[in-house]
Amino acid sequence: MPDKIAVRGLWKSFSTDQGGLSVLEDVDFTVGEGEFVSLVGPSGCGKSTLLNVLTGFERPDRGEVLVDGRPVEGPSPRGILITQRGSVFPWMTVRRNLLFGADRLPEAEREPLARRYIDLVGLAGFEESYPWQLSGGMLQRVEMARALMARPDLLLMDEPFGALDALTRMRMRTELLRILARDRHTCVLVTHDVEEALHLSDRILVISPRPGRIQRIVEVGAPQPRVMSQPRFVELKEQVLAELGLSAAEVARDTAAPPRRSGQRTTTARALAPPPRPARSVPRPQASGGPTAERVDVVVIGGGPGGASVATVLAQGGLRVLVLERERFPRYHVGESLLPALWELWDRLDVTAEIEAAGFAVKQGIRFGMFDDPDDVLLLTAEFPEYFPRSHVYHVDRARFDTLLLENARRKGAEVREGWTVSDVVMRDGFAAGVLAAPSGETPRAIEASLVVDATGRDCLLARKMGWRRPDPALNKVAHYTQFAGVVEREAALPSFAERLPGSTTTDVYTVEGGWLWSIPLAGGVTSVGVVLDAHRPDGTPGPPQAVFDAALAQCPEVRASLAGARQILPVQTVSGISYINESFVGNGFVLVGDASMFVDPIFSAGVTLAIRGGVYAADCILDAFQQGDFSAARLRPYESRIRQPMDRIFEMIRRWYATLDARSPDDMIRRAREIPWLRERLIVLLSGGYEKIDLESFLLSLGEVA
Amino acid sequence: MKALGRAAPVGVIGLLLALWWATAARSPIFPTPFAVVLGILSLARDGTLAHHVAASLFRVALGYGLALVLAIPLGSLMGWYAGVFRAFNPVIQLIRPISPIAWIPLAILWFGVGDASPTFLILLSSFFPIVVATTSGVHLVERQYVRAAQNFGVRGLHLFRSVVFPAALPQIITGMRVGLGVAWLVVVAAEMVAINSGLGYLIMDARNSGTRYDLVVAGMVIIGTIGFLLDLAMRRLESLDVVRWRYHHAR
Repeated sequence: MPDKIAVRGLWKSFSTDQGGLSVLEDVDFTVGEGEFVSLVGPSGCGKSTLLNVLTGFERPDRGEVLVDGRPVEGPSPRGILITQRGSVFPWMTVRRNLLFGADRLPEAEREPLARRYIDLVGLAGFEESYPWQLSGGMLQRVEMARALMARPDLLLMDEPFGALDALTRMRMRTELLRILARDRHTCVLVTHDVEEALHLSDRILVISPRPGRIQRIVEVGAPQPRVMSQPRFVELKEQVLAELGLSAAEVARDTAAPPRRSGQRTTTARALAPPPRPARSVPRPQASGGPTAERVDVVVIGGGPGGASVATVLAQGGLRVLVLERERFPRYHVGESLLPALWELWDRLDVTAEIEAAGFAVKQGIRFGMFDDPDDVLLLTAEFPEYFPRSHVYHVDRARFDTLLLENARRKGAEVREGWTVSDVVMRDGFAAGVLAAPSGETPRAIEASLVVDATGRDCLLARKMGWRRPDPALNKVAHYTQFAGVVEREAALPSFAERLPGSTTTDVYTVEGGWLWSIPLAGGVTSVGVVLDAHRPDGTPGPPQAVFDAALAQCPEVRASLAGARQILPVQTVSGISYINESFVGNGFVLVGDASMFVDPIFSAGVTLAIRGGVYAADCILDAFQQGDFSAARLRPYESRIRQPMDRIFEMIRRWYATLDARSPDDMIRRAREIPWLRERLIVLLSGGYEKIDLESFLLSLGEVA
Repeated sequence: MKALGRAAPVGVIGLLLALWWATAARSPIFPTPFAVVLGILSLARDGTLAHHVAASLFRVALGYGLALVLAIPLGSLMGWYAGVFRAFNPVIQLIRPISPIAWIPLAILWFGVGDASPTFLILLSSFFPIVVATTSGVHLVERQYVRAAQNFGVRGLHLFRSVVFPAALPQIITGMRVGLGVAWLVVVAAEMVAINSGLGYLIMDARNSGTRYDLVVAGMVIIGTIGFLLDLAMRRLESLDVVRWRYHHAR
């Protein structure tokens, strides 16, 4: 390997108030073309200074630094430095930042190059986002892509992932390896993290305490992918740490410490860390907590429809399941309109009889009212009765419905604890190994589990921790909703072919200025009404929620008329309705279900159905994982593939629907469904939740031709 | 409590109006709010209002525009080059505390009684907030941005244009907002002396030629309203995508 970098007899000192401070003394090393070298050492040993000299921001006092045999004269795009602080320009979009990296190239070459690197680092869809809209992990990827845009000979990284949480940091490592596999560069990495160095480098230079010298060179030289828990890496890690003067006990404490806590779930997590254990060689979580640590097979965080479904199927499968729910049921929740596809899932959960007996309002379909069209479009499941066991479903009071599902899980053998807060998920050797949890207000304690299910809903406990949240800027909505009581119950006007069920209703959707409004009649004269609007309205001033809500309601005379004499029983609630599909739904030892994995815009009432479907799919996959005794992300991945496909398609349809709404196009899919029978059939199946019953791909394609 | 918060400003304004009305009703000279509204309407109807507003806005536009043209480049140089800062800063700090009103006699001496002297006073008053904000904005540009740009081989004017200026822009806009506010304060004062148009003149004229206090207060209301609208417009600049990162860090 020819020498790419040659550092010869390098000395560097800084002047301080106390006189000269020698930082680097007689440093000598070379880096080969395409080689990855890490510099590890204690704080203040001069690693960063060395990198600054390599970049050309500092000049050596003595000695020389050669790149390709030529001395480094000053900073230049030949060697790009990436630091922990990050220097992505906040005033430029992601795309502009990348273009800046290739500033010297002609415009015509820069654009395709930027395209390529945006794809390479997985930022497609975020080209026009501003840095303040991105997560820390995404910012580091922008940083990386911008550096690569300059086509540098050297990538110089100074703790590039130091500001990220432990899990995102690990992900970024794999990301970096993936990028380097496609786009080989000579790399010098400064890091505190010995495991990171071992994972990434060909060689590790251990630097002594200040004044820094090269104390030892460790050859790693193993092919990628590397499994850090393999004995050889554990051994190498101990060697490097010993070189740095750290004992094995300290190392163990380091690895066993729980990751940083996230969000508002604050606790004294650190004080409750499981006791230190020696580093182990098998990447498989095992019980090793103190005498008080409780152990179950699966911990489900969150007892909503997704969490309750996973718990039910797992308990039916004979596993020891613990559901931890922060609130005490029943509790109010929005999302009242269900889809007929649920009947099959309810059969799986063995809860059909309870739901039928609950007396929920009967829903037979959806009515779309367009503000610029006098005729509504009525789509009823009963038009194509062959698709679903029953052509009706329900509008439910979510407080009761969710309680019913959770009670069912309890009956099937899952242990459910309400009023319990989970403060963190404990990670061990890269696997989720349990949670820290307690009744709200008490000090959390460790509960060990082979597998953790995150069903925390829009809190997205794990997705946030992993930096997996992927909000869809195109579907950034805000919802204002409330309920009315004392509504006069009226039978929906249904065409003759539909069997008229007593008290049957439809989910009514009306388009309004900048969005749409729902009206969902529940049982007992209660109606849920809500409005979904663009989060960034062109008029800029959203006003108080009640006023915004009233203004939207004023545009829907039919709904207003139906509410005559009714009274609003809740203050208007407001939530951000930004849709997201998180980057991954599974990791080592954990899965995400329901809103913790994705949140879908409410327009097609898909949320609860997808959550329950995801819960059942996840449980199938988890049962399989227990059979195999393997809880790796790879083993859990089939769950994700199974649920992600319908999700992506639904998202695509929703985007399509909003696009025609925004363009006020008279050719939207709903209106076209009046005259095109095949479109009507497929639309009804989709709006009834039968995502696997038709070929969505070809449906979307043919939709493109007609609407 | 929330409803109270919303109602409070309306309540305060209503109370003040009532107080005003009660006082004015007993005074032979001081006009009631209603008289002021009538005054505004009469000014609007015969075109005097538009004439005076246009005159004031024209002077502000000219003086403020000149201030921008001078202050932003000078502030940038001062923020970037320590030498320029050392050379200009003492003068700026000495002149800055002098009220623009104190300059009126000199302005008339130098520029006469036309549009030039109020323009000069506006330039003088809005120049300082802008130059100071620009200097500090440029000076405090975070080093990692500059270093990154240098690393990509970007130097000189290009470095300034694509990195330093946009990084400092949020602060510059804040300075511009303060500057425009001061400019609007000063134009009225300047027009009260030796000028025969503008809102300041309108007020003095209404007092001198027949003690029309309804028109005096009408002028004041117009001044307040326009000042408020100008500030609102400047605040909108703060929500531009290129500067939002500074004002709204979190999502």
